[in-house]
Amino acid sequence: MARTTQPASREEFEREALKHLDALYGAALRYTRSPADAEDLVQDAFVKAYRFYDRFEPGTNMKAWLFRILTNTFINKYRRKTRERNVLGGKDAGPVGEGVMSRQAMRQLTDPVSEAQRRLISAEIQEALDSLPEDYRMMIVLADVEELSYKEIAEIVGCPIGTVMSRLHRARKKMQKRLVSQAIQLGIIEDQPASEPVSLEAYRRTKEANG
Amino acid sequence: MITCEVVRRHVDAFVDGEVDPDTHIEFEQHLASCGPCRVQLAFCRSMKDQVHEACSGVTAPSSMAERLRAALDAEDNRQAAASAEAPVGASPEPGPPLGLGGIRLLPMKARYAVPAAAAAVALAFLAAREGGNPVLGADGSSTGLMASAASQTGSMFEEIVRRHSSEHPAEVVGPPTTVASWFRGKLEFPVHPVRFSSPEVQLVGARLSNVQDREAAAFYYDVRGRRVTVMVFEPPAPVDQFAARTSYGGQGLYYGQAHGYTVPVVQYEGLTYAFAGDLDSRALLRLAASARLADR
Repeated sequence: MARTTQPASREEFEREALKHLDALYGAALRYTRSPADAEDLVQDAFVKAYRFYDRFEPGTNMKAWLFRILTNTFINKYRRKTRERNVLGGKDAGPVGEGVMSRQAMRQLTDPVSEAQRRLISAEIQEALDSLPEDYRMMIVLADVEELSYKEIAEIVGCPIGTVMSRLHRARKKMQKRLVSQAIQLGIIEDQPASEPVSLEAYRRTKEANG
Repeated sequence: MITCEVVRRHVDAFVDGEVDPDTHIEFEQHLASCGPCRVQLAFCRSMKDQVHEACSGVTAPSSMAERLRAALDAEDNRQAAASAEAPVGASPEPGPPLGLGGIRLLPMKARYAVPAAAAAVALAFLAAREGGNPVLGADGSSTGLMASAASQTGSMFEEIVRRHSSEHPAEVVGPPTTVASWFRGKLEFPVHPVRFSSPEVQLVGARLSNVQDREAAAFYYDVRGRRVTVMVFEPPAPVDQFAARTSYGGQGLYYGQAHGYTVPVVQYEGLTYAFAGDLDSRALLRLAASARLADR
């Protein structure tokens, strides 16, 4: 027999799993970008987790376990395997921010001056996140929204930590590119792309020139 | 002393608190004397914080917890029914938890259970959870077997209806040949749009979809201005185990129901063709019965 769900484990499952409901729903909302789909996804993941609750090792990380089921359910249900899967190619390497924006733009985005700017940027961030391909979006949700560790993310997504790092890195870079162009359009930051580039090349040159 | 290059390359890990204590100290030392790296670090840290601020703190709708409890109740019932009624050796679990499962061949009797009128197409209308009291005058021969798989297929029909009513945009439009070739390589089974003899039924478009974690093709049709969705997927279980029979035009048929929709299901060559549409049940039954799956 694969499992037996006793009333006690039902109660326990419910109690433990519901603690993470908001986090799971939040992630599902970012994954699917639709409240209705997010509810469906959370429900599917919950039922699946309940069905396989006997495979959960007590004392280990329940949140990560639930996130793994949620993420897998999402990948299996919503993935567009031929298209969005391919975006993880070699592009977008290099440190975040590098070559993306001027140092001044970076400073301006680092510390939004007014509350209005803060709110505006906040809305832009949500939009930028929603515009990312799903694999990137998942990385940002897990690392920045849920603040899970690389190890947890690796377990959730089912890939090595090194892959988590490079995907996360590319995701952030892509998101920042979009944010910067939005911020320039909205006048939150000034457009000075060439005046003060932050790239290692330029930095080295300056350093060499200055001795 | 570590270089700017090393700092920049690992700035993500630093911000995420993923560098070991020794490296951390080296980072700090470098940052203390390097303005550009400090700008870079402050930016990355701020982005992480701002993303967190902008996107966290979402709360689930208040109805969600209740909905989940109900779903767990349904799962308990399914389990109980499955262990009470499933044949010896049958697994109550629908295949591997997260994978897609292989093609399950239908028992021969499912294919030959009905007259071979429509080019050996077996028409099977799956029973939904409410299958015990079908609206179309089932012959009552199948109620005994239905309970075990009913809750599973109930949610399956709900899902099919939801896929229809949510009106997701088509990913491909065009004549059947274009649609068929668009699907090539996208699914683990070959799929062709269903054809109908009536010129009133027009293929509008299609998209990739899913039914109960199974990949599916969704075909959208227009029937005199009404929408009809045909979902094609690998069936979760042999159809005749939980099919409630009825008949249409002298033909033996099966169907399921969810959210007020009647969903005819046709089995053909190991695939399930489910019909959800904004038509009355009889019109949809007629449509399903007229589906041409064999000649392409």
